[in-house]
Amino acid sequence: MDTTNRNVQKLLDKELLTKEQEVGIRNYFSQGIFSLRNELLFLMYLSVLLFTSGVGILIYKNIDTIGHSIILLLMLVLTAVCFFFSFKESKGFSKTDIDFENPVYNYLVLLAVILSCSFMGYIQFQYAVFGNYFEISIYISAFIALASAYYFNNKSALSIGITALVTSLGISLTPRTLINNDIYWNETLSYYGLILGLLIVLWSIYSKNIGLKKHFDLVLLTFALHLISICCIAGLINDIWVLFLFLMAGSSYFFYQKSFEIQAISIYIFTLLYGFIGFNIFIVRLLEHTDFEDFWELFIIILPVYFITSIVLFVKAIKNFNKKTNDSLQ
Amino acid sequence: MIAYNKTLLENTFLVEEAIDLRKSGFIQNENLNSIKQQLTTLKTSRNIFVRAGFFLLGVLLYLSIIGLLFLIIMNSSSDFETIGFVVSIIGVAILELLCNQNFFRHGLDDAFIIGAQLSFYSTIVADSDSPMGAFISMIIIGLAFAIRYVNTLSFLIFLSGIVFLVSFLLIENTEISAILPFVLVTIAIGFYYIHQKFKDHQKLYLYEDLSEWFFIYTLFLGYVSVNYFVVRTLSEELLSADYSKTDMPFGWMFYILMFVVPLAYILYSLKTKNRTMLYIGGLTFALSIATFRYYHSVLPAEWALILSGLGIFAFVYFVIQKIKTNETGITFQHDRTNDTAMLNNIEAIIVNSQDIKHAEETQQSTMPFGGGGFSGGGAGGSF
Repeated sequence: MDTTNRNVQKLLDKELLTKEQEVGIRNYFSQGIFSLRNELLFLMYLSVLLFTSGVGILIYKNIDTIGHSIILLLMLVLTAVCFFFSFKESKGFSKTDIDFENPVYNYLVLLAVILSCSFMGYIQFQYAVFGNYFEISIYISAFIALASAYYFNNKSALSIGITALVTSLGISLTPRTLINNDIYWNETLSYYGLILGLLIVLWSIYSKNIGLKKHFDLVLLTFALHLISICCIAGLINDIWVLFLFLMAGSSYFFYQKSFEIQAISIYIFTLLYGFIGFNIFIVRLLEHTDFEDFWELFIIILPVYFITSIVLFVKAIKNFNKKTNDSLQ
Repeated sequence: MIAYNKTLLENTFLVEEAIDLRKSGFIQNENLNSIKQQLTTLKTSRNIFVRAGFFLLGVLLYLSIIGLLFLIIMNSSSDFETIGFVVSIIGVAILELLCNQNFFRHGLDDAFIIGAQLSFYSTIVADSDSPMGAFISMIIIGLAFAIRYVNTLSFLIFLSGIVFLVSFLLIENTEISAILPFVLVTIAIGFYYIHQKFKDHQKLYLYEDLSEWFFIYTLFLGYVSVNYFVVRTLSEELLSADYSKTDMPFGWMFYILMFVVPLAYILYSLKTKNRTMLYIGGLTFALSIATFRYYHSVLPAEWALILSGLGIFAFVYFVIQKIKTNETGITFQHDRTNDTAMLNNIEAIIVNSQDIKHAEETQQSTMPFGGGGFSGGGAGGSF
């Protein structure tokens, strides 16, 4: 507080702040406001995740015992109760970014969505309700999550819904599998993934045009970017890589433009990274067709220069992004 | 004493303050732009990615300069014991050059600050076969770098030097090494009083960042020195004590302290409205629970998760109801100085790292297990 005080005083002395601004700032700080909103809501979020993880383990540990149907019943009741209160408190559907009067209900919705997804997964696993068509249970989960996301204006539910859709293709796209490089792959998956990614992009453009939940853009595009880029990279490694080269170039250009439009540095950085990876694979594929023996010495000399140039360009690109999006804040 | 032009340094901090004021909506873009135009600042990277990129470049630059020099001057009669010092001196020379060019917290300068110190300390350890010299040089050089280059990391090196030196002397040269935790707590308390005394000192206003990190370091030191796991592991390692049958002496006290310290942090932070301290309190409290569960599996993991989830939910709900109507002091209103939108997006991404069992995944896993149950997972892991 003292630092701010002193700095404000100095800015005032240099006549870079007006007297009114200075009074406004001092008034605000003299109230001694210490908002715990973000911290408390994050704890609430954490509690939902802890609880649902616990329930998840509990069910699978109690398979084949008498207790498990009771647990299942309790889960269903809890889900219903959560949805009931959420509906009761909700202001109804709106195209814009509305919130509950009390933000705690956002986390009730999240709890209900995760529980119903667990429930759907479990009854399919244990009772095979849909026989061999296990996708149906995933589609129902996805539907519940997406409907809740749009009705209750809940980004976390949106993210669960899209993940469920991606899972139904057989791709497990979560941060953990990404980090552990744990993705099971074949060529058909690339096409399915690309189609789903494209659909998500189209949906985001369409909903932007009709003004439906514009703030969901970032989540939608983040998923689309990772899905499309990973599929393209997988495709580049396969035989028909020329096709994927053009797809990758196209998608990189699109997301590059889009990141400026919605001012999202995370999308910008990942676009650059995926683009860079794609470019390197392209170079390697070109080298496959040449006689490497002839110029490997040149290659070794060029390599460090290449990396340093890449870093310089990367740094410049980020500076450029910051300049264009929020000039004054950086 | 300071390697930078003081006016420029001060301007840099003023612009940073102005950016914060803009983010909280106290001033407008035009104000900020005019402030930026009128105040000449040092060359800084405020974006962490940019700084990291330049840091990487700086490391490459440093390495290539050293490599080139060695190619020229190195021969079989070179004295290997002093090479590390030469490297440090080269680093400092380039660092001075960079400071002259007004590079401050830019990334390039960070590479040389860290590189020069690392090579110096490691050479001392290699030459003297004892870490003692390195600890003493950490204290001297760390402080010198911290003061001259207004560098936070060097200051933390200085503090660590003190802590390491005291611990080392106590363990190697005395019979009473068992009191190490208490000595460390005393040091932490000492640090705390020094911080309190100097944090608002008029002449030290350029060292605001260092002071902030001094505080954070002190809080962590205070907690770590009473954490049961740390104390037990250290005494097992250093005193080769065996606690497999009996608990260590004063074990109960560390169990209590381990929870008392974080709670004290949290309560005190609420009283003094210090957000950093609040976060550290929360973090260390979670660490204490993990430590406790590491030694005592009181509950199966799933019940621990469920109960803690319920407990936190109830607690947060209760607190929100309590402070909902407050207008000043501790409130539940939107925070002007803290960004909420970011939190929402982070939450949306983290939720996926959770295992929500989708039927498809479980479908695959039934095959290898042949439909058997997953019983007997056993508890005991910490979460």
